[in-house]
Amino acid sequence: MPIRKISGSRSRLPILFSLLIVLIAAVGCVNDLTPEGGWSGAVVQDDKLFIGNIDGNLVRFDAATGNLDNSWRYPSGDGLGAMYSDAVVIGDNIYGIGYTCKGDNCDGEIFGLNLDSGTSVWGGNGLQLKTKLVGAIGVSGDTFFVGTTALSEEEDDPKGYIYAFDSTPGASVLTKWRIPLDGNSFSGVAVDGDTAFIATMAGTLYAIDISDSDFSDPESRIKWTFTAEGAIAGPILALSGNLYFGDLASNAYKISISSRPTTSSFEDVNTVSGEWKFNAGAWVWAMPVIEDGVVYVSALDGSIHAVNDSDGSEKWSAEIEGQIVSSPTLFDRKRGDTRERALAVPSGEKNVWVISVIDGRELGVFVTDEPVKATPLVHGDNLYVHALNGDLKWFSVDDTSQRGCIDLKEGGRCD
Amino acid sequence: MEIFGLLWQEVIMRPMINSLAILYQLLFSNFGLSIIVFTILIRLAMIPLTVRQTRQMKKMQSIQPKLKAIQDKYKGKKGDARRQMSSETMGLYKNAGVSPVGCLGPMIIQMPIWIGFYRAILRTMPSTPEGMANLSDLFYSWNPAITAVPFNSQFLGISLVDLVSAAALPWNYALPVLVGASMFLQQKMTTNPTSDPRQKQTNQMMLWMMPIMFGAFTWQFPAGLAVYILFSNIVGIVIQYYVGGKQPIELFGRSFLGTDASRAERAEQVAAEAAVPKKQAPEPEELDEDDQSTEVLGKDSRRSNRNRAHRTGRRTRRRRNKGS
Repeated sequence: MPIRKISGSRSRLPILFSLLIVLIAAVGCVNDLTPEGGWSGAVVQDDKLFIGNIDGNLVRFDAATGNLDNSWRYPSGDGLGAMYSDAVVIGDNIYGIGYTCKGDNCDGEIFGLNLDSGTSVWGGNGLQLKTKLVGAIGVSGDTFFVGTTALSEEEDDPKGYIYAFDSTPGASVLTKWRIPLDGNSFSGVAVDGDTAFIATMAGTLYAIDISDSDFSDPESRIKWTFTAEGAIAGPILALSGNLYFGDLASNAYKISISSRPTTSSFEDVNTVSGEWKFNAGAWVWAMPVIEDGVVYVSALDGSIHAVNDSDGSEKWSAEIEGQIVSSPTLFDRKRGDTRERALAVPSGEKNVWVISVIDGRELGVFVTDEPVKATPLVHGDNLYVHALNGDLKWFSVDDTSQRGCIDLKEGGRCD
Repeated sequence: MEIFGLLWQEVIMRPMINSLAILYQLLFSNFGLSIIVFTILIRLAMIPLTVRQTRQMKKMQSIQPKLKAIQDKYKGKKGDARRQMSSETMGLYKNAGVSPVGCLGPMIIQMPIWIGFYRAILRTMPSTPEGMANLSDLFYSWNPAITAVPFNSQFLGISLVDLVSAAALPWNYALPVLVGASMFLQQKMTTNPTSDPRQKQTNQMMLWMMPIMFGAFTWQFPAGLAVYILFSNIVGIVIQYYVGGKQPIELFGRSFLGTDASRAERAEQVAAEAAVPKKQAPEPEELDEDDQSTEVLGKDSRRSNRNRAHRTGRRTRRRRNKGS
């Protein structure tokens, strides 16, 4: 009955419309506020690979047998939510971070586990912080450093912190000190000698004195700060007295660690002393990789740039499909009877692409058929890739053929 | 489905996100202001649609007496007679230039814009690393605002990214109340008064249910979305006021705003409604199954009566009363 239908639908339309909006809103909130993770790469120790899986569990994979150690998993039940960075090994233990958020209420955890048994050895059952824990842990001696975003339990708190923790198992006081930051920190912490480096989404890079000297005010540990043109989201590489990092203004930087003024900015980059700023054309999130005087800068538009370390000039550039969120891995591949150096570049769309370090040519592909946001690991003659669907796949570095696949959530084979 | 996703991203999401980002740069790096200004621009751009919608509704109202006549003509009849009624009804629509879904069309067109804007706000201020990385794909390379990411989400002491429930006092309570109140006012302006008890009940339910529901949901919305809904409602109220001919707004038994003419017209309308004997609107229990369509159409019939009263004044009312 047309008339009746028209009239009826008109009266119900606002209700249906409201429900539609609410449904979309609910889905939107979940999608945009809940971290997914899956960016954690593998760390190798004695033929065992330690990887944070997509659910936020740190799991152990036996490279010799190609199986997951089902008895070794932290937490043993539900995961921490999301893991974005690699774990770090300190002595006989491994330390990692993870977090999840429900709405804007975030629960982060820092944990330390025995490498052999997987039992918690630090802070009882780890240390819980109401914050997002994204960037990699930095290590110096028995101290490790963690960058955070704002802590939700503290009113009027700073937007982020760098924490220094005592890694000693059974330590009675875990937190040695902490310093407030001017923004959320996703970058993780890089360490070079007595200085730690951490950056924020406000675009500030901090150099922090981590010596055991007595500082009455932790903030007086800040040696200098550098303000980039855009937010610094990705990791920092500290190497040979220089720092290499990217920002969300599409720049990659090389700046000197020593003899810097207390504050400086991207406008002060001193090309005379070997510093440079390189425009990559898109946001730079992945940590640059360096070898033989060439810096490989990857951008979120899928471009890779080979830049001369000495002066910041571009040697070549190449492009893959999808975003490059994590660093490429340098490896040797077989070419006839010889071997050649290549980059294994993870793509946020799918696959790990093999790019020549000589001229950026595409040499091959490790087929994952899934997005990859974790840095690939070369161990033995295999390349291990943690795909975003939660699988760990390994390939022959010589011919890129797949050798195995395991589901890091359940432990089942997927090849 | 991929093509729809691509269209959605290129036609709705990217233009919106880039516009919000440019406004952010122009408006003193204040995302709250950029949301408000963008909401106003969107609502202004939709004025032609709103006008069209209003015209369609008025046309629909104007043919209600004829529709009612058709209904009465076939009342209680079944089979071919019902089909004939449908045919006559559709003919009436055609002759009057009314599209039965014409009133809904503009609203349907607006829906993707509203939904897109909501999504754009969330995606422009992501709180997860993947959300941040994905944002880079949504910016035009020429957009200078790309260097300003992440945007400052603070506005009037609240974080536009965080849920309203997590906002500081008084905003955590004030925003849901303001959203609910503005929605109530907008509903009030677009709901036609009726003397039909059943329709009145439905209108009352809608009038209260929608604002309360949205107010309650606002509690769990990101504050930026709440700001958007609030200002969208406010701008909608202003536009409706002018497009609707500056009709007075009735609240708590009193009239606000309006012109002298519209107030007088409204007073006359109220008097006309009061003069209509209750018997004209059949009680719900009097309706049999065949009369359901008549009942559903009742509100429109009464709207048309009201309009006729506007046009011809007391003479019309007297005639109608005599008929009853």
